[in-house]
Amino acid sequence: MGQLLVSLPLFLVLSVIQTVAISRIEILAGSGDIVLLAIISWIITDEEGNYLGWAIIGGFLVSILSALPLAATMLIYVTVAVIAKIAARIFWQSPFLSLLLSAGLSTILKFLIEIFTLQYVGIPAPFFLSVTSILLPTMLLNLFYAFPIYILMSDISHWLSPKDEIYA
Amino acid sequence: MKSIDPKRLRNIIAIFIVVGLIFLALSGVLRPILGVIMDPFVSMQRWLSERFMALYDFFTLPRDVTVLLQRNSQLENEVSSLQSQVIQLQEQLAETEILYSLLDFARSRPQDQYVAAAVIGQDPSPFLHYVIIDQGSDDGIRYGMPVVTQQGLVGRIDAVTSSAARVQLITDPGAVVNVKFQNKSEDAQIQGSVTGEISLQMVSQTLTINPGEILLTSGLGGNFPVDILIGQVVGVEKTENDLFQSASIQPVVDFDAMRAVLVITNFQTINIQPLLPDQS
Repeated sequence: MGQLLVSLPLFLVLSVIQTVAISRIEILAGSGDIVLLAIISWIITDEEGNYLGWAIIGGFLVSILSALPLAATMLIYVTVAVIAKIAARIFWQSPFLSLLLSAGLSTILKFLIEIFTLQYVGIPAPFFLSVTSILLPTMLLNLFYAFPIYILMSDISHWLSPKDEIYA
Repeated sequence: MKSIDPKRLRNIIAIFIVVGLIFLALSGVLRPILGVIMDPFVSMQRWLSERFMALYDFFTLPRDVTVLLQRNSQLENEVSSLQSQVIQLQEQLAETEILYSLLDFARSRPQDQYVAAAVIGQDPSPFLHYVIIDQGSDDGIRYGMPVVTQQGLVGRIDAVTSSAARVQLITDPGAVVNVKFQNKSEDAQIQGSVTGEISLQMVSQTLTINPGEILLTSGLGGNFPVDILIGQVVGVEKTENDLFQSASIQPVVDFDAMRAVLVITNFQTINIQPLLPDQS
């Protein structure tokens, strides 16, 4: 319940920051996605949390602001959550490796779903031009934003559910 | 003969001398003499005064430094406050200039009715070129209304809530606008792309296009009013085997720096979909 009370306003704030600032910081035509990174960071930080809940809340809020169809947005964020969960389980000893791997794979997955959606609805989106102009700059920006977002989400996670410290 | 009292005589002489000196002083005759007499006194007074003030400063300066430091701190605070005010005023001035420009544009097209709106966000997807504005259906904004700035065409309303609306920019890959050349009778289309570039399409191979030619909305299709400025041709791509030639367009609107827009509220968009032949 506490997580829900925090996640909703938190993702609301992150979505607003995304549309107001992050989307305007562009390299070529690519821009970062801090909502996606927040979902990944939370899943890596809080291994026992309801990871799909975060993905659904984040995806729903972004779909309100984006012209991308709701189904595509939800699919992106839910799949990203699954990727992050798998990465967190495989590389549980190294959260930073999980973070980088999840951020990279999620960026590629998001790109593929978006370009497929555009082509499905009949909007021309040349693949190789999109890779060089959107995917690669977006990947760079997402990896750049990943660590600050991870630190923020980690702090919030520890604040919500403090871990018992074991003293030798 | 009664003799004059020597004491009274001295007084009379003294009065005469004083009166005489006053007359001489008033007439200016005594000025050089007074100067010679007073100069040493003035010099001495100045010397003494300087030494005294130096001594006075020596004893009172520490207290003044404290006062000065406090005063300096106050003034620094005031400077910071004034600097923030200056920044706010500069922001307001920039906003006012934008609004004045929009007003000028609105006056130049008196047949249209406008609602001014601020740009408050951008679509999170890098593939899509949409912006969010702070006016919605409560302010008379409806789906399909054209959006312009003082420079030219921006796009059209794509989605509306009660207090905000989403605008599809002409740089969006899904945006197609019917256009015409300013100095030619030919019509064509422009289309955006995922990278935000605009290309001119559906131009006959027989037409000669030169860089710098101006494009305006043609009004065909009923989605936009006629004669709104779009941009100019910067490069032409002509391949003999293609049916049409194309060109890259430089839009007049700076979409990255766009802060306010005008929505044309009295323009009735025409839905021609029922008139089109069934594709299926």
